[in-house]
Amino acid sequence: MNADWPELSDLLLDTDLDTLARKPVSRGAVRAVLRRHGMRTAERILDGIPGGEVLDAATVDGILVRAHCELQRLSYEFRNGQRLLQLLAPMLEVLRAKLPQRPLRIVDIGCGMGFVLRWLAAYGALGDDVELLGCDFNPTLIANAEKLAREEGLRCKFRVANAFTLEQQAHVFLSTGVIHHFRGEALTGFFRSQASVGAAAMLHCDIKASWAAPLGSWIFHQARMREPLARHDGVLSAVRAHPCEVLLSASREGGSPLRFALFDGKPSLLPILRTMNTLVGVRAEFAEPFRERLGPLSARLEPFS
Amino acid sequence: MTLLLLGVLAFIDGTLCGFRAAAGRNPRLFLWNYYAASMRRGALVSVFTIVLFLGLGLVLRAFGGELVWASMTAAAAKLVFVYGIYATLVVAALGLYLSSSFDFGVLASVLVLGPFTLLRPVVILAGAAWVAATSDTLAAAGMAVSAGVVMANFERILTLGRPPWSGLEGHSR
Repeated sequence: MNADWPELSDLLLDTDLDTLARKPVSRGAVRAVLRRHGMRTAERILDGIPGGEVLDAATVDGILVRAHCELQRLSYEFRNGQRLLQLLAPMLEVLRAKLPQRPLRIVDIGCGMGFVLRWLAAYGALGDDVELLGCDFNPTLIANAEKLAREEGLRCKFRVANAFTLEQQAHVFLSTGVIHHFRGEALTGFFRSQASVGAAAMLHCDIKASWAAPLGSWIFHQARMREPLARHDGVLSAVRAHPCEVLLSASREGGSPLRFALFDGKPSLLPILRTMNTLVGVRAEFAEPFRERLGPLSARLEPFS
Repeated sequence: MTLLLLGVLAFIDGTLCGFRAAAGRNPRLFLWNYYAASMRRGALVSVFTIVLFLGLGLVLRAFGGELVWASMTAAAAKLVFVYGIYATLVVAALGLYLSSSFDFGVLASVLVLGPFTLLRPVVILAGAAWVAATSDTLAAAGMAVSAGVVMANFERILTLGRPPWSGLEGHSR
């Protein structure tokens, strides 16, 4: 595996970014990409997907839903809701003090079935002046996220939408396990899009790149996942995880005028102690107040610049 | 005492298999009842398995006499030793995960709970193979291997006849 390999889940979905309509995906086209990269395991997984030359959208969605269910189990185990909350709560305190607009709108980019937002709605105690909105291009994942939130009476919403073209301004953008999907100019553009719509802050949590990350990811995906695609893409995600300097450079280039720093970004001899890191972006005037409100956790936040 | 300890280990393992059989299939948040039901199922099936093997052991004793019984209890003692070490580490890590701070909880998972789940079938089968290889009688060796094979596949057994994933769009196979 190498960092240039595309994730299979990204190849199985093709969305028109203007209309958000789903485009048919040809098995042959996906296979050609996989062969070009020498991704034999992914090719076997593709061969195992039932159907003809054009991949059946419902079948692909079924795989993605199962993969997301398993991913949620892993997110629970790694306490990703809590992981984001420890940064989001002090961030909201700062925004409440500095911004007049209400509600404070938090938008989860590529939310999938919305685990993090639903967790925040259930356990985050973020306050009545906070609105949680999850965006994803996949209608099936969003329909499930809505259904789950409704069933459990959670105060969060989900939309099939481009998170950067919403009619109402997002104050905080967040994501979990999303940024490794973007590389090069697309990564810079990801941050540019958020800055250009006037975000006050962003929190992007992802696997921390280290020598141990692919091995650790393999162990957990073998132990916890059943869906072959989830196992494959999970390990590849760790391989694709961006080194700290790449994240900071891309965010500072694209996300200006916001200031950026990594939480848990410091390299450590034993990377198993910190398996994920979070890229924090804030408007310059919020940087110091945010650090103050973090309290003891601020020791794990590198300087903003 | 040895047999009781082995039974307790099988019971705990079966109950945890019940949890894992249910995990990752239901994306709701409030899942206490869901997991409790699956763990109960694991516990019940493990009790059934324990009784089955105990019954089989008693049958072998009836046919083979005290020598066979002694070799089976000696084999059980070796199994308790191997599986006891594994189970102690897992239960300790589980305790740490459930009771401790964010960081220690994740650490317990990264260091023990994840890797040990992956190693579990290997530990079970290797332990059973070692005990079988060093057993005095064919009956003890056979019991160790068959118990090992059943427990190594216990999670799979628990998912047999499980209702298909349902209640979500695009969520069927």
